[in-house]
Amino acid sequence: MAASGEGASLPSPAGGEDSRRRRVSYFYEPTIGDYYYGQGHPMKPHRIRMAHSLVIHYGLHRLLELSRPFPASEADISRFHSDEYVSFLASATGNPTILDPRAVKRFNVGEDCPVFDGLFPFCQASAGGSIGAAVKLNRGDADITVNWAGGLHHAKKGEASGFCYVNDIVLAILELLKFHRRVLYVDIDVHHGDGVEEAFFTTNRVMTVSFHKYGDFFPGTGHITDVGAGEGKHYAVNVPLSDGIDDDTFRDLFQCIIKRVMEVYQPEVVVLQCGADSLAGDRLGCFNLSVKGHADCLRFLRSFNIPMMVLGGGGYTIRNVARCWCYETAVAVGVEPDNKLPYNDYYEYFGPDYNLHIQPRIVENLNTTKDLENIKNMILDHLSKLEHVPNAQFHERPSDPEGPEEKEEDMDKRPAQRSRLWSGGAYDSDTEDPDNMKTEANDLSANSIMKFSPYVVHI
Amino acid sequence: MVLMTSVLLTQRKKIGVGEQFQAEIPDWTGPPSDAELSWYRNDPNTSKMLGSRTWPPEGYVVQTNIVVAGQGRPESCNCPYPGNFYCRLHHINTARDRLRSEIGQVFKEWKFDLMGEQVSEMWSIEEQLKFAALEQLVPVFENKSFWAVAAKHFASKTRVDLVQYYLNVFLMRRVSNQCRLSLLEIDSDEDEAEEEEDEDQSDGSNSSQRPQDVQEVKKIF
Repeated sequence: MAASGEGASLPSPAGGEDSRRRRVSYFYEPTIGDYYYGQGHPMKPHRIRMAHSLVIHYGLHRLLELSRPFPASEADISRFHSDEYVSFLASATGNPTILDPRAVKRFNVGEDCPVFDGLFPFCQASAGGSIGAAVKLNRGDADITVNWAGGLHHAKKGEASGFCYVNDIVLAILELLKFHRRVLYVDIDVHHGDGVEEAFFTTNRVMTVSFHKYGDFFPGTGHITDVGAGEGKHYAVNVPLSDGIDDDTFRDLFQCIIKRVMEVYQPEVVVLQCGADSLAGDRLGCFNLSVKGHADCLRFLRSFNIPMMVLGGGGYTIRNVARCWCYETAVAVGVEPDNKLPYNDYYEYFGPDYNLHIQPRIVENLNTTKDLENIKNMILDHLSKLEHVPNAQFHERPSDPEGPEEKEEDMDKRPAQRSRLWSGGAYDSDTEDPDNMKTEANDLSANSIMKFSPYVVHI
Repeated sequence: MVLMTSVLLTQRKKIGVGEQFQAEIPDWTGPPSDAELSWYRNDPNTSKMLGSRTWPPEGYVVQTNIVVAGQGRPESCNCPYPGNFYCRLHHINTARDRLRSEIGQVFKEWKFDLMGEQVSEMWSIEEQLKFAALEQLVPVFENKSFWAVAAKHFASKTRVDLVQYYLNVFLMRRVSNQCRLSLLEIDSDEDEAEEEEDEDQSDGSNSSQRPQDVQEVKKIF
């Protein structure tokens, strides 16, 4: 029986000098796949189990350290989240008659974020893995740590949001901040990383960079002019994109922006949220990335040779999520796996081709060259404001001259309306916007942005 | 232009600023000293968050200098009908056995014995047929009480058993069927059967697809 490809034959991980090799530590909770959000809900932790099966059947465990996470405690979770919210999560059960309707409303649980059986242990496993991943990096025991059960970036300090209840990313970053002065957070989920951006909106010790679909899309934040506030001003970067972005376009933009971010911010550690709903054909997403294109982000960040944490996130076409996170595990360890999937317990999910890689769809890339140039220029311009103080103490920044588009706004109120990530019913992901509002709403030329920003609306 | 503005404004949400939104960030007091690093490494509350290492297990000795990883399935095999259902089943079972002998007790720790078609071994044929029939009668997206109905009909099975069967066996068989029927849009790793009506099906309506699940089960056994 001839092998379909070479796989990779490597010397065992004795020395670490090889530029292709990194010490990679991977967290996996064996029960994670059994947590079930409920009938028809697109978020399926089962995808993490499918990814794990592929990782192991490809033999990647021979190059990894794998650990079962320790569940995060209420105290651990309260390091970010409010006490009342944590108490609620810890006591919530799947029985709807027991839930206090005021608590349900206050903490935004219900449709998008249902209270399901085992909700709290699920959160504990997800957060425990990310905190453990941070501890590993702090101790210097690994170069890259991986937790596919993490990356739940929408959760807020006092409420659930967008299928996320506990923000494991914020908890992990808080742990990293004990030993690292500057943490870079990069988010390639199709949805804006609002929970993480909000948590660190007013600090310069964490820079958040999110690439996401913007315009008539959950969660509604992530406008290009949202750059942070107070000491955190210019330490939030938002890259708003339109439907159909493809591998080449995304790679150009990503590498250009990240390269500059690395130059001006010089982070000591990077956290990458690898939400797989930015893949082509995702049930809730609208981008057109292949698994390779998605993984190129990880590959590029890895090439900077600084400690890195790799987390999961969204992803609702579960066979592609499994493919993506398996491939990204391989990229982390420095292996190029064969395209023909190994036989495994979930093999039948991957028909008819049973291949690792996926083809992008034939859809229009609504991101025009002009839009992308404008986005790039605006962001590089925002980043240049950091270059005024290359080595200064991060807590004392001289006031910088502000253009008219940056006047301070009263931002203490959160809009009363909460948006939904998922319509809750049968979902047709191929609907075109009938009124062509998308094209107009996504006009992000510098002209239009300057006209919009003075208008602040509290809904 | 006015319409554009209002569309963006009603959509644009603001990030909250204030104590109830931001995380508490400690001040940076400088890189950790050796003593601090040593304390961190030895503190049991911190170290317990490392979890428990599963692989490589204690005392595991690497047999050789060369590690092979990333290998996919072979190009060809010696099955009488390569690529058909029984060929795949045979290779999946072989791969599982090989993995079990490579990783020993970690196989059970990672619950590889509860993945995929193996879960159906704890279900009788009658139970499997009943589940498929129930699912067809009570489409998941329409009637929110599928699990309540299922619980009534499978009194001996826990909710966890039902969900495990659904994810590991039922959904996967549905995808397998769609591949067999060469549907252009394979979407049924999702719960919502209504999506299937949009697909170009070679053999007609949505409902004719379901009995295939039952046929497939009959064929297997």
